[in-house]
Amino acid sequence: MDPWGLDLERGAERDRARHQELLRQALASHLKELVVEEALIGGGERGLRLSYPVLRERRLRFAQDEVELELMHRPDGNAGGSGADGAAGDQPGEEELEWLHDRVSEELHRRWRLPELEGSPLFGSRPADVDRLRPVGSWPNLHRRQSMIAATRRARMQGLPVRLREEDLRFRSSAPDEAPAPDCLIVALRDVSGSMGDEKKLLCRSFFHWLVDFVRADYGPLEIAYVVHHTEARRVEEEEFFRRVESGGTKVSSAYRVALDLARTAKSTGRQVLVLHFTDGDNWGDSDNRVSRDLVREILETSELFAYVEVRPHGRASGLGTALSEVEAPHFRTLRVADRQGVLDALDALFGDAQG
Amino acid sequence: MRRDELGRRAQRLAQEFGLDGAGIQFFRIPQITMQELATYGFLGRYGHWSRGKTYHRTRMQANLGLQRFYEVIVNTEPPQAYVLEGNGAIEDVTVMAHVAGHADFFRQNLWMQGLAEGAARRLPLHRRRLQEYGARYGERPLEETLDRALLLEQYCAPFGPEDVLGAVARGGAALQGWQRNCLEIVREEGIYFRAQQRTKILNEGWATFWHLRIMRALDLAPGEYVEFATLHSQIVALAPGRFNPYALGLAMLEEIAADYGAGPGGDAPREALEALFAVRRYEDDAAFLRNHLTQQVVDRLELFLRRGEAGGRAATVEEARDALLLAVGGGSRPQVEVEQADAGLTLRLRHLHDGRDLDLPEAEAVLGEIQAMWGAPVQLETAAAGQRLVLRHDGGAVTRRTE
Repeated sequence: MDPWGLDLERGAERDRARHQELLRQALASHLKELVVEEALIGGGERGLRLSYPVLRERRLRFAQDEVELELMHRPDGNAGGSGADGAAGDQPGEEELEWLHDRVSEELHRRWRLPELEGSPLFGSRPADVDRLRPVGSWPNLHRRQSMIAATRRARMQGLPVRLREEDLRFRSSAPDEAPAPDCLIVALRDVSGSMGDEKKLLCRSFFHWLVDFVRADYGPLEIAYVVHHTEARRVEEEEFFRRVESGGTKVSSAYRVALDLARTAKSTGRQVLVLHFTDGDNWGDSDNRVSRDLVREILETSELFAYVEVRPHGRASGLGTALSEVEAPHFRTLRVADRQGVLDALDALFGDAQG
Repeated sequence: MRRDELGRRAQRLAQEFGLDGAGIQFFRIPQITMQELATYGFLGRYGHWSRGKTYHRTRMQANLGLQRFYEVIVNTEPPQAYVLEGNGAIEDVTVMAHVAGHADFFRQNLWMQGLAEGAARRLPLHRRRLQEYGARYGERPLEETLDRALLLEQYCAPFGPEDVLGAVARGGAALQGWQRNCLEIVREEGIYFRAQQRTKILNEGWATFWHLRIMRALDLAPGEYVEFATLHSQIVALAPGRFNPYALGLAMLEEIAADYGAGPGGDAPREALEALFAVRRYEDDAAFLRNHLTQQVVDRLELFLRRGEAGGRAATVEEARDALLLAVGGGSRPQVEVEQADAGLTLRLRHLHDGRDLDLPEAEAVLGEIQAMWGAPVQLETAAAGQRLVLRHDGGAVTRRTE
């Protein structure tokens, strides 16, 4: 009927496939930077500004801060709005960032596996959330990330390029089933003391962002316990965990006590436990370092993995790090993050090899 | 068939209203082809991965139900209108009424003159030519050449002093013959599509203004009218946090008609029509906004400022106009003119600073790419933080000099 039809379809498909290939290459070569990209992990001051034009064609463009005026129709209460048709600058909109986030996420998921201990998977690999997602539903309930993940899985199985199909769509169920009891607990410990400056905070948030993104997207059911600490530790909601800005001294043992309680409780119900601590190791004193070391030993008795991640731009190990180096156990890992580049290395060290 | 009957009457009405919309060729295509057409602007246009990127996202959005294209019209002679397969009768007739306005605009607007003739033949020819280059010189060298040419796609103009892409195509010492031809092709198509970009608000407003009148004059049955009204309200819907060029163009044209006593969507007196047809003849979006944006329109469309010190409140007409002028046509891109382009000598470019500083690292990277085509040093004069600044790339390093 139309004289162009099939041939043209292939033309667009060729361009699309080529873009995907370039994108994959660009992502792989910029992955270290993207992992600590504030625009992707959220919560930063710079909003939607990407510091790496990884996906964008090179163009003369304006510095973002100079966009004085941008028009939109009257916002309603929570309208974020993405780039306005015609009237927008050419910064990426939220949709574009979400899309880029998903590509980075896919790339990381491709590289990583959950650690295996004694030959058995750390915990079950039943897909998270899927139990509460439906293949049919209304558009506002569309779960884009899960839909993309489903498409990725299917395409990988079939050896096809990733493309969303009707069958991949996942909708949030309006009447969620009772969630199955989680069979794994992840304890995320974040140091929010005064010595954790803006740069260290970014590294910490990046580390946990991608970690949570990974375990939540591909595995489950699981529970994540978020704990922040300075001289005192307490459990917080996820949002507060990632937003938290505090100051003051540090008493790491307070956090480890909370972790130990959580680990013991989880263990008593037969669940697996994974503990991750991100800190600069700047602790209150030698006596607390020793107390902390002993607590780590106790936690290790009731957990499958303890990862101590120390952000240390330069110099020797901290007092805490030195104390913990005395701990010897196959499931105790210490990792160092020196700078932005180091975040991906640390995650790779935990979850896989860099080969993908 | 009701559809055919209404379609014929809509076309006749368009003619009676004075629209130059006769002889449009209609094609019915599936959604997937529509998505491709919306991405490329033309079926059978040359390919590049950057279009693949847009195409992919268009498809994603359409698959998620976020976007639907009812029609795409292509500026050829005669104009080609592509209609979505499976549209209902009223959707089809609305599209016919709408594209009559577009066809009239393509034929009569001064910025569009001379572009339609031969386009249907030349664009596929360009595509074939580039395919031949790919086969003969390699796909990667072709892609690299197009990457660099497309960098300057926005810097081409049919009139006035020489544009940047034209200057590089003519005097680029590092270009081989076939690469020069690639630049010429990108430039020709750039000019072709830029004319539509710089008239988007007016063109869409014009087509919407007329489909409204044509559909109202059709004496639709009540059910049919409700269907049309629903469709129309989707087209001009003011989604909070976004900006709708159809709604703005329509509101501005209605305002002009109202000055002569016409009601919204209603019959316009002769003086009103003369004024409207003159706007359609002589103006692009920039002129349209300068001459006809009013406070009433800004208020009715609830235009708000998003950013800057004034962010989060209703815009005044001056603010809205300034913001739109910086966004329409080429306004969202830095404007650059050629100061000196003698082959073999330094290519001197000047950024027409409009208060917005350039992204300097990106500008330096762009200069490097231009230099790779030009062969000799390339420099760009701009300003940063109020100071005159000259970026210069000599093939090895880039230097910044403030003055």
